Amino acid sequence: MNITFNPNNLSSQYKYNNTKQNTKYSQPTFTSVNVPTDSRLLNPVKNVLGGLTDGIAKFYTAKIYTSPIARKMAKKAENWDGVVNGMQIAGSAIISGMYMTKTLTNDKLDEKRKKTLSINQGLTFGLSTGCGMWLDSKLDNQWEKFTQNYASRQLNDENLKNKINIINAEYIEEAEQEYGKKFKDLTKKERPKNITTEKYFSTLLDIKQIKKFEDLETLKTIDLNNFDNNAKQIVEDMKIPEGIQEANGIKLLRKVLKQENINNLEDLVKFKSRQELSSSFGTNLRGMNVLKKIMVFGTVYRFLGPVAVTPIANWIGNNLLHRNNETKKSA
Amino acid sequence: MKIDSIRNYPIYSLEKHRSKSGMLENRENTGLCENKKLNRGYYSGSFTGNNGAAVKLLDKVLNKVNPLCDGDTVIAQNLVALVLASCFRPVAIMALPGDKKDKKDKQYASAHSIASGLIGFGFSSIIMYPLGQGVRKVKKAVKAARKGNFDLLSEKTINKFKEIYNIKNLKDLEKSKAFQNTTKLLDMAPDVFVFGILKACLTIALIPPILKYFGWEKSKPKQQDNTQQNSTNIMSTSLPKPDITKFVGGQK
Repeated sequence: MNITFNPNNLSSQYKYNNTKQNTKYSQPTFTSVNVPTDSRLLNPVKNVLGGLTDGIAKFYTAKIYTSPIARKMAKKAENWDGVVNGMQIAGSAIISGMYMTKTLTNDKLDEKRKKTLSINQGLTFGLSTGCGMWLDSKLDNQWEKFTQNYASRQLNDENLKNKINIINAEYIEEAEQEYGKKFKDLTKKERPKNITTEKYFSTLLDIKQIKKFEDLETLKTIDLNNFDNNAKQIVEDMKIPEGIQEANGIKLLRKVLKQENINNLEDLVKFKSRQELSSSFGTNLRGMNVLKKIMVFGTVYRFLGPVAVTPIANWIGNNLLHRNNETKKSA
Repeated sequence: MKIDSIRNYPIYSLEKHRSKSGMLENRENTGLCENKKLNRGYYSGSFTGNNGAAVKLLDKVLNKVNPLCDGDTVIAQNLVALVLASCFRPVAIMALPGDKKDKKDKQYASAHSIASGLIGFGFSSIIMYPLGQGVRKVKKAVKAARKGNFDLLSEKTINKFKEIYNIKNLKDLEKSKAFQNTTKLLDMAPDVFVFGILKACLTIALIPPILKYFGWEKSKPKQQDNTQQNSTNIMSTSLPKPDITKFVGGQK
């Protein structure tokens, strides 16, 4: 094995101020021997696990994905927003319910105590859940800002925040014009849904998929007033990614193209060469949303609930029992 | 000329790059460039700034945790619970004021909390990880099917995916909100509906060893030897203590 190692050029400052050729020498080069990168020791275990997960994928996961229940659920699931929260609340409800049942069916406790304890447990669950949902909705804006900062660092785009804010402001302006009211007076249904960092990034990925520059030209010539009427024709004429063929998708695509300053083929080619725009970062941004929900409900159920909410629930429970006893005595 | 940082160049380096006038010639030669976010191999001096060490550490953590949150939500959920229930909650419970009697209750509540964190994370990692892998393999099989490879899933099954999740092209499957929500349900439902109660029972069974480990267990007479009976009736023996149950509310 020949190893070339040049210790003279190790100084990072020297390396930095020198040509690429010198930098090359500073790295050790290995020749003649194939260095194994993966251990074969665990191969039998890996094979067994691989077979097991293949079986799970084929006979469990795929079966559930394509089951009649999934078929019924898929139509409704398109509009669901709170799956993670819902499942966390359901989990807590089941466990709290189990503890309440166990307390009520416990023969070693006296009747009064049983009721108080089960009321306490139920109240703790209720207060914690309410607190979690409130906190989750209140943190939406702050978490979005945090996500924008994270994404702008990862994408090396300092203006990402502004770009998203401009698009959201445009949507608000359009809604105000459409309904002839100020934003404050708009009903919940009339208010446009804010574009999140995740949505903006997924549109960036869609732009990467655009194959023809003519598509962009066509996009620019569309009259916004007649946009919805023309949408179908536009889709037929252009080769844009299938996922964004609905009117709202194209509208957002136009806005993002404007914000990203993609005006000609050269701009598009330059944009496509950006390495940060990978689908794995899309996974990261989806994970950010889940992280918030996990942290909020985790903190409430695992920390705030037992430490702070339980004494309040105890107090309420005891007071209720005390009142009941007093009314019985007076009767 | 604006200089955005000062660095100690070795003497030979300065000699090499110094112009005749004694001034540094241009940004390219001196290693100064317009992009201030670019790390040029030296500490920027900032800790909390946009390019500071704290932010970089945070980004590293987020880059690791976020894919876990998206792909293995249950494991991520139990990881958060592990940190909160096994570290912060016992510390907070033990820090609460109280008399000697309360101290015992607090110790029990802390042991309960640590046990629930450990069981939740351990159980979920062992049981849920292969199930998560199953979901990943299905996604991979769908990708392979785009290239005409139907090794894991048959063409018929793949067509069912297209039909159920209302997509024209398999490429858009992971973009489909219905598919995303079904995946989340598939990921979280077994932990919630099947293993939730089992985890609660295991948690209660783990409390005595934890109390013993921290030296919180009071030495008891020999009637405790009947361990088998104890373990089967562990739910009923642990719950009757009213003062103890006062401290444990919410999700255990």
